[in-house]
Amino acid sequence: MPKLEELTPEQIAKFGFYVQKWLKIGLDTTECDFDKAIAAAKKCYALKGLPEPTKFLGPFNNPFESSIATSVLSKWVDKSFENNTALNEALMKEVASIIENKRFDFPSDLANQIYGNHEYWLSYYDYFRTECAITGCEITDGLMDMAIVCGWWTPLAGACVFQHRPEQIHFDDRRRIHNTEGPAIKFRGSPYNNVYALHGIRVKENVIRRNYTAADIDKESNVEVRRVMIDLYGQEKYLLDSNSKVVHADDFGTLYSKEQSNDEILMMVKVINATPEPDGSFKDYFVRVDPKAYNGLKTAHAAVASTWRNKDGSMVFGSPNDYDPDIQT
Amino acid sequence: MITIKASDLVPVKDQVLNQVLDQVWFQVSDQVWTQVSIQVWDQVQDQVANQISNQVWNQVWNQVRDQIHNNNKKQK
Repeated sequence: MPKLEELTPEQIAKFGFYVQKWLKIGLDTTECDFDKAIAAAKKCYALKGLPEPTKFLGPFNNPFESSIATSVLSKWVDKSFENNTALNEALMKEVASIIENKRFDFPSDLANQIYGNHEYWLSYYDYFRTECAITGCEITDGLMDMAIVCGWWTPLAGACVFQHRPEQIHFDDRRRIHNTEGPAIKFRGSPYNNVYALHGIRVKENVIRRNYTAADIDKESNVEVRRVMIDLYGQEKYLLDSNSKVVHADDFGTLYSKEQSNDEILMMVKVINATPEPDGSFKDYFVRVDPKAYNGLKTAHAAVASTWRNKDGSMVFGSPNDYDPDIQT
Repeated sequence: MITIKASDLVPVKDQVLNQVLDQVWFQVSDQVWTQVSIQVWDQVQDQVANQISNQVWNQVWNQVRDQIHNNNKKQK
């Protein structure tokens, strides 16, 4: 059979369909369909020539609880139950008890889990099989069925342990996982698998809860995490709370700097809004500035001048002295 | 009655996931292979695997590792 050497424009036009189809599957947050997961599992085993399993368990809430389930099963070897339903009920009850009492002395089962609806590579076979009639892709049929109905799962020689998918997934406007008010990826049940993230950067739960100090920010060694912690904390608040240095003060404002390990100096200029508030008061506000502007900012005047930029990002004023406003806005 | 046997609990992930890459490889040119991987596979991977799966995997692994660490400390 000759090799497929080139895709037709019609075949190429189908790329987007498969991307969207598998993104929808991968980002699905509905519960596992237990009966359909059993049927998909049986198909997987049959297509790979494996004996059909006899025990179907779950669906558990998340990978953590599923790990507990397989650990419990290993302790229940030689134990008998009336039927699969009785076994499953006992197992779910035991897992719930372990979670409630935080008896987490079990090994990780992650290495034995398959990613169900997160098996993104199936998109490839789906495309080739459907659009290009490439043979051999049928062997992935069971896994494709499973991806549509189930989260991660654990295939064992005589048993399958199924999981729900995450309950919520949150993104920012650039489709990076992000949630400033709770988990970016939230699972059903116990909270241990919940992922907290800001603009795609994974952070600890206490960051999202705003339960940290400027000193905690300084202790954070990961530059990306530190940046998002500063953003959430508030750049100006961080400057004021973290022993930042006043570099210079003049009629234009006050220039602050804060050294950061492995990262650019954080430099901000505090200025007074020349427009009065409705109550007649004048508010301070902070503007982040580029420490490298004008070959290194040394004065508040230069810092304020450096905030004036053309559309292409270049400086409006070639020298800070060129910035001498008669009227402030 | 059903009884849990030790043999029931042998992981078969590798067998279930045993892929068909080779079979597809022989039927398409390098160019087509690359084109589809970049335009379909990689796009889904960026969103689903890298962002969701990997983050969850890391989270679970950290959680289990922390628990084992705490248990070890208690036993000492």
